[in-house]
Amino acid sequence: MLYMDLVTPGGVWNPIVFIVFLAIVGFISYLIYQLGEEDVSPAQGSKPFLSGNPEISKEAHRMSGSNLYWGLLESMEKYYKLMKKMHSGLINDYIFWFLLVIVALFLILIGGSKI
Amino acid sequence: MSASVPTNYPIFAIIIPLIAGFAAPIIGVFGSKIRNIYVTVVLGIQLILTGLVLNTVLSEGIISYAIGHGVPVPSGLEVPVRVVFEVDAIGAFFGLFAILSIFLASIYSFSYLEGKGNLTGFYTLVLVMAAGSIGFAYTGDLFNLFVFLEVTSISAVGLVAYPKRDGLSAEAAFKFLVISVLGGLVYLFGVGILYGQYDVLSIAAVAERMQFGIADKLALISIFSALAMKLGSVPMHMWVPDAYGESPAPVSMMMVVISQLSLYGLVRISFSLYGLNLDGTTLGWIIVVLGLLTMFVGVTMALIQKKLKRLMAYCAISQIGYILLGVGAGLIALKTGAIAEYGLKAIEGGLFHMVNDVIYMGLLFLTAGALIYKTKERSLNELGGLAREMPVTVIAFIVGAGAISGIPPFNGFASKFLIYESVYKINPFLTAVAMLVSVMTLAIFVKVFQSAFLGPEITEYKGVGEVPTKMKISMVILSVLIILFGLFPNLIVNEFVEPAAMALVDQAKYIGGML
Repeated sequence: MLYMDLVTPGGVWNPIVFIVFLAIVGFISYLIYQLGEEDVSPAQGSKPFLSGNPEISKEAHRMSGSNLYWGLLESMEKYYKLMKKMHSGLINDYIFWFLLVIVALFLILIGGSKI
Repeated sequence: MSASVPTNYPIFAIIIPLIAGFAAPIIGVFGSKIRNIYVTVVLGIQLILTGLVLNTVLSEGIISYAIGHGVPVPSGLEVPVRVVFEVDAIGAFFGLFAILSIFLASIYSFSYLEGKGNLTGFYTLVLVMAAGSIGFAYTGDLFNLFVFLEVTSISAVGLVAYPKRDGLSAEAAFKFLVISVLGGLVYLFGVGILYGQYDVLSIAAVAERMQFGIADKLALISIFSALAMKLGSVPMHMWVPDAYGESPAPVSMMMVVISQLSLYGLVRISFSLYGLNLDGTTLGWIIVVLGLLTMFVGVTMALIQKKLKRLMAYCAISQIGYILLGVGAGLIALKTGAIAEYGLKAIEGGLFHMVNDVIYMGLLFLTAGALIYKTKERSLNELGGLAREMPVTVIAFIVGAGAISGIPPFNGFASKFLIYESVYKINPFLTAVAMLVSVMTLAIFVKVFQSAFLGPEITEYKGVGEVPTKMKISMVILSVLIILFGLFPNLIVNEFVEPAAMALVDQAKYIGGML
């Protein structure tokens, strides 16, 4: 097994050991699953209670991509405001950033004594 | 092991697709089926040739190859007009994966672009791009590097503009054209400075004569900034979401190769041209800071995208940051004797990630293309419930998403593991940022998976079914490569990545191989 090790100066990675570990965890999980009651089916569940409102159709109930991570994005509002301003889509701005990097490199590499 | 091995494989790997590209319009007259077979055969031959080049380099050493001769000038002297190739392990290694990627993207495009007008021009550009990519990877000459960079860029502009979809692709192509031309000119300015200084253009010859004065530093700034922009490093990355996002999926996959070529060029210039003269610390930290910015800005911008391919384009930017981080940290550590071993591993991690990125980013763009192909919809908000309809695509997506997020046992984990472990020794903060970006990448792909594949079926997508076989073949091959590279990373690292990293850091051997 050791010949499959990916060795770094700080550690070792062996994917086969990982897969064997996953298989063991999966098997134990399956055994626990088998301990569950057999006679309960989803069909026996009651309808969801939505504060007395009628249940909307499943298709209308879809969660789209924009709905996810709303809280995280709200908390980063200021960052995104800046980023959106930076990503204007204007080719002039693309070139501005390019020139800015050239100037920064000039100051660091020519201004500095060593590279 | 000889220092220099004469073989004709490199030139054939460039000439065959180049001539075949210009002959494609004639073959196109015989119909699309014949043309598609022709393109497959040409790229297949090129793939075999690049494999043979890699095999030769690994077994026998650097391949040096020059075509051309001296041209008499009025003063009585002869000016050498020639094209010089110097193929070492890193050039050969990267060339093979560049062509593999273009080959699979072409097979995918046979179905993806079917019925979208006359595609002969499209495949002409693909073959020219394949020739240019190999020329770029194999050349040992600064000016020819520029020529092949322009060949790939011009063909890429044409490919991005090809769909003619409501002007967006044309706009993206125009932006890429402006950026490419500007980048190319700034690169050429740097080459001009070096040529004025040393009267030679061969990378090895310039490296040998390098005095590292102000002019050489100016040349480094020009060449470095031009290549950094063309590879999509933050804050010069804005063209990437436009070009990747608005082009057809197989072209997006090829664009990943184009960005990686510039990254390869940047690495080549930093190590093979300036290597011995560099203290390494300042330039290394510049690359590391660019890498951190690229990772973080890329992933956070991906988080707010609603268009599937723009989201993936930002993720592609973010992944380039990992490679910059590995290479930059390697440059710093190599010059610090005590942790030089970590430096070599960081470079190995960066190079391994370069190849892995070509594979999994390519796969993710192809799965995005499969969704667009079937639904004609690009917005994540309008997709949903497609896992039942597209089982092969969903499995390929899970494999690609796992790889880009660095989940074991996929290939992305193996290369990120090398980067994390090595970079930690230089500064633990770097590893922390890299791991945070991986977590955010996973969050992004969970969002894509949930939005596109899970949830109740949408009426208009009922019965859309799976994509055609040719598209599935490309996705399956890339998925298998991801799994194999993830399961046997030691083989890839020991057999290919380590020799490539050694070729990169051993500047004296590179110079000796050519002169």
